[in-house]
Amino acid sequence: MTDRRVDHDTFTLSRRYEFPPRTVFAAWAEPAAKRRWFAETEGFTDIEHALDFRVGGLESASGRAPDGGRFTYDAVIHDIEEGARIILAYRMTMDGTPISVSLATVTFEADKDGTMLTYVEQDAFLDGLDNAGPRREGVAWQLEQLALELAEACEGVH
Amino acid sequence: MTGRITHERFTLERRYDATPAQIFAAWKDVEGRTQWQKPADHLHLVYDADDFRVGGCDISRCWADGDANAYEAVVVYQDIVPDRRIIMSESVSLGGQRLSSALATVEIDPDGAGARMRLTLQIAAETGSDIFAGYREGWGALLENLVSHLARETA
Repeated sequence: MTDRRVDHDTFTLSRRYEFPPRTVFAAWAEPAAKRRWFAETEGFTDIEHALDFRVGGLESASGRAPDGGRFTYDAVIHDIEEGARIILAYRMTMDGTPISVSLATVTFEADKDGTMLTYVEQDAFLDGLDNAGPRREGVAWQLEQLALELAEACEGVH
Repeated sequence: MTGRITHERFTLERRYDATPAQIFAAWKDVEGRTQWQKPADHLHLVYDADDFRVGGCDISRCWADGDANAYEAVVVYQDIVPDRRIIMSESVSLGGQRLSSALATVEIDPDGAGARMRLTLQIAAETGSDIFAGYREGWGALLENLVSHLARETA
């Protein structure tokens, strides 16, 4: 019998962006923008992404890592407050094997001319196949990509 | 503008004189759940949708006689290992107002002639931390309800 186990964990990341909440929020809500900063991971190939941004809507992403492993991400959006909050649950698989289930809470708060984004993730890591260390690093990298996405998207208006 | 989201995690555990397969069946069977997942006898619990498979969704309503609004729960099954594990995400609303979202992990392990069930709730509350006590109390009652439900099912 497979050694089944679940490791529960939580981590929080905060990051400030030089754009107002409606602009930062839009990069999570618009499928084309979210694909660029979230799904197009450096070094990954065969990338697919789909997003139906509404409460009850689904998001899926997949890609092949440089070492050949295929990762999938499947999310359902549980709560949206326009411009202020997103709560979604997602599961991840590696080569078809489930590795985690997570609840992510993203809040967007005005901070002078910018936005303070707070990301809280509550995780159930499965069968010892993943843990909070690399997950936290992965999300921090994505939040950095979001900063680059916002800078590029807004170049035209400055 | 709403307030901050508050987060909490807690675990409840109980031993049952039933096999892991019988406990798993109690979660899988929506008819059975309609009985044992009522926190109290005077409440009504109705499933408007049920789909017990990974990616499947349950929608249920719970209310007492005379209540103006029902609690509505939307559950999405995230991971299922037969007789061993179920992980769900859920959101709970009252009269259209979102109260909380959560992950619920159910782990079932053989224990002698019976089995232990461990339930871990990871909660993100939209409306403050008052709801955490309700979660503990509600799920605590369900774990007790499951004792008599299993006794009936295995008689």
